[in-house]
Amino acid sequence: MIDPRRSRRFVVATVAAAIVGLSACTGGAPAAHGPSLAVTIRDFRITASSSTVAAGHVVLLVHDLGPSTHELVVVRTDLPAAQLPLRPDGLLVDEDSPQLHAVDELSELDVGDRAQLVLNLSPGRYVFFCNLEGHYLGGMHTLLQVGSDRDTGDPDA
Amino acid sequence: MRSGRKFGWIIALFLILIAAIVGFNARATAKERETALIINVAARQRALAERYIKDVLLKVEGFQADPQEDATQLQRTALALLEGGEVQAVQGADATVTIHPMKGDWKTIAKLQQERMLIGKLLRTGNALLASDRGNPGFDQQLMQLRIIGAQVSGITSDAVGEMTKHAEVALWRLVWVGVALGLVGAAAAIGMALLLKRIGAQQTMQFRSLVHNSSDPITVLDESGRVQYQSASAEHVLGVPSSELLGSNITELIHPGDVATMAGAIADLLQHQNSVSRVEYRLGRGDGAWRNVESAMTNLMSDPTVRGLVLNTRDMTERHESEEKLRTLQAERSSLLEQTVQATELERKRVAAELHDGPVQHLTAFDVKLESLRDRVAREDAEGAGRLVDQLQGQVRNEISELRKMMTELRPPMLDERGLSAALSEHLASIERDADLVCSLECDLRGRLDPAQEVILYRVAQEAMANVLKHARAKRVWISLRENDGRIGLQVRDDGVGFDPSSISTSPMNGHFGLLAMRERVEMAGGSWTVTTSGGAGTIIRAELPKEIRTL
Repeated sequence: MIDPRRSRRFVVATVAAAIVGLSACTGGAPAAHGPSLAVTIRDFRITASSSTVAAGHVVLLVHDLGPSTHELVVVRTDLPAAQLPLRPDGLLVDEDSPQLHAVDELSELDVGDRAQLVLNLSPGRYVFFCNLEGHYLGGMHTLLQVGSDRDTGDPDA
Repeated sequence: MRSGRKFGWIIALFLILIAAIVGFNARATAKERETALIINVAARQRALAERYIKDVLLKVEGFQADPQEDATQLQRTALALLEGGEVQAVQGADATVTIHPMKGDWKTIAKLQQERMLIGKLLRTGNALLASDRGNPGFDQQLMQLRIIGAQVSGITSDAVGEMTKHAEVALWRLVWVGVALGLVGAAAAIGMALLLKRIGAQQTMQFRSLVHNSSDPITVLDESGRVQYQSASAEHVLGVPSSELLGSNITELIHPGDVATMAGAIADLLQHQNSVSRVEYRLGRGDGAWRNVESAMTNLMSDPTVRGLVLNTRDMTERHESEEKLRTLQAERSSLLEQTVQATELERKRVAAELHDGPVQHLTAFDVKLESLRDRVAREDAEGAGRLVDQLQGQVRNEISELRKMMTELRPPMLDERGLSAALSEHLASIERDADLVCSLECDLRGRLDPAQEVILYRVAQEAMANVLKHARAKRVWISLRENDGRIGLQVRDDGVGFDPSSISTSPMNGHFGLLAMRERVEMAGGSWTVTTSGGAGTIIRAELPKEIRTL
C-alpha cells in the first residue's frame, strides 16, 4: 500500500524539479553569460542552489515563493552575512555603508515572480539579502563565495 | 402596426439598457466605496501593530497602556479581512464596516494569512516580553525580536494593502471600461433609435403625403385668411389648372361670386372651434370659365402643429347635380306627356264620335229616310222607282262599309295582326299614295315576324312620322326602311321635305311637337332609342331602334 502523503510529496518534488529545470534551460540564455544559480526567496529565508561559484558571469534565477513581496540586494563585503551594518532604526541594512560594495539588486518581486539577474563577479565574498522592514533581521540573507576557476570550478558543471 | 410594435420593442430594450447602465454604475460606486473602506481598514492594521509595540514598551517601562486592546483589534481585523465580519470603521467614521470573505485573489489571501500568522507571533512575543523582567539577560533580545516582528507585520500589511489596491484598481478600471462600453452601447442605441424614429416619421409622412396627394378628391389646406397653403394634385381634374398655380390664391378668388359670402361665413365659424368640421356647397371656377358644383368638408386643424390650417376635402358634385336636373326634366316631361296622353285619348274619342256622327250616323239617317221612301214606292207598287232607290241604297251601304273599314284600319290595322309589320306598313303607304301626292318606298330585310309589341310600337312610330310628313314636310318622297342589326330592330323614316328647327322640340313638350315626343317616349319606355335628324330645307330622318327583348309597357 502506497502512503498517499509520500506519493503527493513525490509528485510535488517532481513538478518542482521540472519547473526549476525548465527555468534553468529557458531562463535567459545562461550559456551565453556563464553558469546559473537558482535563488529562492521566501518569508524569511534566502536559499541559493550553491554557496560558491567561479568568478565571471553568473546568472541568478530568482524565484519569490512569498507570500510577501521581497527584493534581492547583492553586495560584496568581508563581513559575515548576519552582521551587516544597520541604519539608525536598527531594522534595515545600511546599504550606503563603506563596508558594503553594492553590486546589483532586484526590487519589488511579488509572490510567484521569477526574475534573472546577470552578474559579473570577481573573486570575493558576496551577500544576498532582502532589505525590506524586518526581513533581513528575520533571516533573509545568504553568503556566496566567488573564487577563481582554479579555486572553485564551475558549480553547475 | 408593425412599425408601432417594433418601436415598442426598441423603447423597451433601450429602457432595459439604461437601467443596466444605471444599475451597473450604482454597483460600481458601491463596490468602489466598499473596496476603499476595506483597504483603509487593512492599512490601519499597520498603525495598530505599531501602537501595540509602543504600548508594550510603555507598559514594560511602567507607564499606563493597554496593549491587550490593540492585540484584540489586531486579531479581530486580521480575521475579518480573511474570513469576513464586522470591524470598527476607520478613523473618522462612526459605523462599523462589514467585510466580506476574501475570494479569488490568492496573492492577497496569502499575504493576509501571513499577516495573521505574524500578528500571532507578535502577540506571543509581546506577551512574553510583558511577562519577563527587564533585568533578564534575554530581555533586549526579546525586545529586538518584537520590533523585528512588528516591522514584518507592517511590511506584510503594506504588502497586502498594496495588493488589494492593485486589485481594486484593476477591478475599477474594468468597471470603468464596462461603464464606458455600456455608455457607448447606450449612445449607439440612442442614435439608432433616433434614426429609426426619424425613418418611421419620414415613412409615415410619405405615406400621409402619398395618401393625400393621390386622393381622388382634391384636398386643400387654407390659412386663417383663406389663402391656399397646400393643394393636392387631383385639383387639376376638377379645376383644369395645375395645383401649383393655386398656391397662394385666396379661396374666395376661386369660387362663384354668389357663394363668396357663404364660404367666408363658413370659414369664420370654423375658426371659432378647434378640430370642428363643417360642410359647405359652392361653385368652383374652372380655368376655362365654367363652374363646378362642389361640396367641401372643412376641418379646423389650426392647433395641429403639423398642419396649422383649415383642411378642405372637396367632392365634385357637378355630375350629380346634372343628373338630378336631368331627372327633374324627365319627370316633368313624363307628367306632361301623361296629361297630353289623357287629352289625346279624349280628343281621339271626340274625333271618332264626330266622325261616326258626321259619317255613318248621318248616312244611316239619310238611309232611313230613303227606306221610308222605298216603303211608299212599294205600297204604290212603283216597282221601277223602288228598284232605282234600292240601287242607290245599295251603293250608299257599300260606300258606308268602305268608310267604316278605313276608319277601323286607322284605329288598328287588321293587316298588322294578320301579316305583320312590313305588310301593314305597305298597306298604309299604299293608302297614303292613293290620297296624297307622295311617293313612298319601303325596304324591309327582317326575317320573319317580330314580337307583336315591337310591331305595334314601330308601326305607330312610322304612322306618326308619316302623319308629320303629310302635315308639315311638304315632301315629295319618303323612304322607310326596317332592318335588324346585332339583334336590334331599326326603323328609319326619311323624307325630302322642308325639315324644321330641332331645338324647338327640346325645350318643352307643349310646343306643338307632341307627336315627336310621343314617339320618343314610346320607344324609350320600351328600352329603345329614338333620334331625329333635321335642319331647315334638308329633310328629316327619324330613327327608332328597339332591343330584341323589349320591356312590356
